[in-house]
Amino acid sequence: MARRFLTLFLVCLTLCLGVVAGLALTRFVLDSQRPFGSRSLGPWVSWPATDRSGGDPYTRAFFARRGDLPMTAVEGIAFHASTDDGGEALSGACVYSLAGSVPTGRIWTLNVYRPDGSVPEGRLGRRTFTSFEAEADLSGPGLKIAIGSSPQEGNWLPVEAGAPFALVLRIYDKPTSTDGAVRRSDLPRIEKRRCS
Amino acid sequence: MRLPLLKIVLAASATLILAGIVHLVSIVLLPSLATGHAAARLAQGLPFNRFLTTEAAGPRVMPIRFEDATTQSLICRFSLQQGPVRIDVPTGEGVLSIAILQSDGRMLTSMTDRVAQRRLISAVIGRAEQIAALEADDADDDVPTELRLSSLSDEGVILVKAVVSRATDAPIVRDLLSQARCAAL
Repeated sequence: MARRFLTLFLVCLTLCLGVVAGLALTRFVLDSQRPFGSRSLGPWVSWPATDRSGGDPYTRAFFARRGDLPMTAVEGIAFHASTDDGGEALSGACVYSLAGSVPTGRIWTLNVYRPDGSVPEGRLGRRTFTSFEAEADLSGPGLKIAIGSSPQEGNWLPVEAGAPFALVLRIYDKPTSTDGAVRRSDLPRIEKRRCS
Repeated sequence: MRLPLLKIVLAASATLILAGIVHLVSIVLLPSLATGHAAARLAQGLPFNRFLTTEAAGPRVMPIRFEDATTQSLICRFSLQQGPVRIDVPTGEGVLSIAILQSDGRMLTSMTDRVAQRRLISAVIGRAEQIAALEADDADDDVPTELRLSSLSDEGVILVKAVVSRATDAPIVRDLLSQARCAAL
C-alpha cells in the first residue's frame, strides 16, 4: 500500500514539476534580454526572421506577450538597444554619443522609449529623429546624435533625467539583398560620455 | 519503502520530457491566448469598417508598445460578417505601410507603398468564399485592380502607418491619410 502511494506521489510530482518547469522555461526564454530567435549585434537586437506570418513561434510568442507589432521583412528591420556598447543599461543619468553608419534603406527613424515600450511624456520636446532630420548636418549617410537629459551640442535626443530608457532604430524599405547581411559595423556605436 | 533507482531516473526523464512539451505547447499557444497582443490592443471598442486616426481613436485603443512616434497611423477594425471589406489608401512621397492583423493577433499580410498603382493601394479582404464569389463575378478579360486577400478570421484590424520624414511634413501626411477609405463592399 505504501509502495503504491509512493508511486502515485512520484507520478503527481513528475506531472507538477514538468508543468511548472515548462512554464518557467517559457517565461525565462521570453523575458531574456536576448530572446530566442533574436540576433544581437553589439547592443542592438533585431528579429530578422520576422516575416508576414510574424516569424517563428518564439518570435510570435515574444511579440504577443510584449504587445507590440514587429516590423515585417517587407517593411524593413528594427534594432532595439537597452544597453550601451559596454553592456551597461542605458540611463538618463548619463550622456551618450550615438554615432556611426546605418544600414541602407529608404529612411531610418530613431525613437526613445521607456523600458516597457511606452513613450516618455512630459516636456522633453523631441523624442525621435529621422534620417532626413539627422543627416542635415552630416556630409554623408549615417548619424551622430547626443542622448542625454540636458541640452547637448548638435543633434540632441532628450531623455528623462535619471530614468532607464531604450532606443529603437528602424530601417524602412531596405533592399532585400541586404537581408541578414547587416553587420555590427553597419550600426551606430552607443558610447557613454559621462554620468552625473 | 525505498524507491528503486530506475523509478527515480524514469520520473526525472518524464519530468524533463513533460517540461519540454509544456514549454513548446505554451510557446505555440501563447499568441492565440494572449489578450494584450497588438490586434486586441487596437481593436478594443472601435467601430467596424472605418478608418480612424490613432488620435481620434484616443483612449479607446491601448497604445502599441514601441510604436514609432515618427509615424501617423490609421486603424480600421474590420468585420467580414456583412461581406468583404475594401480599403483604398493613397500614397505620397514617404514610406507608407499597411499591416492586416487577424483577431488572434496573427498577421494576414503586410505591404508598403511599393505595391501602389497610380499612388493608390487598393485591397479587398474577405473570407475564402467571399473572395471566390468576387472572382466568379469578374469578366474573363478583367484584371482586378485591387489585391484580394482571404482572411481566416471574420474580424481583424488594418493598421496604416505613414512615416513623417520631417516634422514640417506632418500636415501633408495627415491630409493624405484623411483620404483613405475602409468600408464594406
